[in-house]
Amino acid sequence: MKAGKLVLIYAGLLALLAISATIAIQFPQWAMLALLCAAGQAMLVLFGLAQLGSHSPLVRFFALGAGFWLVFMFTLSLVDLLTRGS
Amino acid sequence: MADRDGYLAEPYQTATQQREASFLGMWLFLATEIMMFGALFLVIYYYRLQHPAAVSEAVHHLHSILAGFNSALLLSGSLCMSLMVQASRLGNYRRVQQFLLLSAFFGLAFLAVKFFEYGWEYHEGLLPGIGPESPLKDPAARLFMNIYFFATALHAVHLTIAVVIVLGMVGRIHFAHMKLPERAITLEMVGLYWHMVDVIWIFLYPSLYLVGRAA
Repeated sequence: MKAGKLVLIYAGLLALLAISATIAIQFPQWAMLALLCAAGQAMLVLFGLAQLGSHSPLVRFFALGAGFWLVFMFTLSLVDLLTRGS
Repeated sequence: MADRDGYLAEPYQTATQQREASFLGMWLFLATEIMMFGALFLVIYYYRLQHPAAVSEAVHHLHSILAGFNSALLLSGSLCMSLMVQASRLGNYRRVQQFLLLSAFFGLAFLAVKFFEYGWEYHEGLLPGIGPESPLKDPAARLFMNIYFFATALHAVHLTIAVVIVLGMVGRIHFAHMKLPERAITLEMVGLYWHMVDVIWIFLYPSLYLVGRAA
């Protein structure tokens, strides 16, 4: 990947950081959008800076495997909490 | 990269096989780190759902602008790491050392700002168990500060390890203790570890400082 493209990704990361901080501080009711920006930043770091996309499917499977189990853990735990009667 | 491909360690038959095995092993290690921090994120969000008012009170006292500045420092370190990996693939090891030093500088700057922030929070009585009386009246808000301190301190420990490894690489290259280009894959592994520490902070920042601020 060329240096110019890496700098462009960096600019995108800073822009997402600025957007998330501005939204959360100026419009606290929309602060959850900061998590969406964080997800976007994580994708930019993993697939842009760490160049995960250029690896074989098996390496990508290993890298994204932890994410799958995290989604599993979050879903089971939060479903229990959110569906519990008062 | 051709001269690097000429180096083969014992069990491997091709350079591609060796490279893939290195990445698989590193990502497996990083997955264990992600799972550890994942459990911490689950605690943060479970606690937020259970005690929204107390968390809002605690989050209001955190220094979100300072932490945002810290995020920018860490992202700058990640850019330097990617440029370092690119330079290592081109065989430009002088540039590799420069980018490694820049990354270490951004990492150390992050840690300095973080400890300044801890000092600030200590004087405000926000740190758990020490310092003046806490301005947080709700015990649940004080417990959120414990979670905040534990999560950020654990991240700081990881970043310290990353900085030490990076400085170690600079020293090994400088004193020719690291065979290059044969061992250049090690530099890529260090880059991956740095990116992982960065991604964890990317999620810690909104989870601790931004979401749930009082309007």
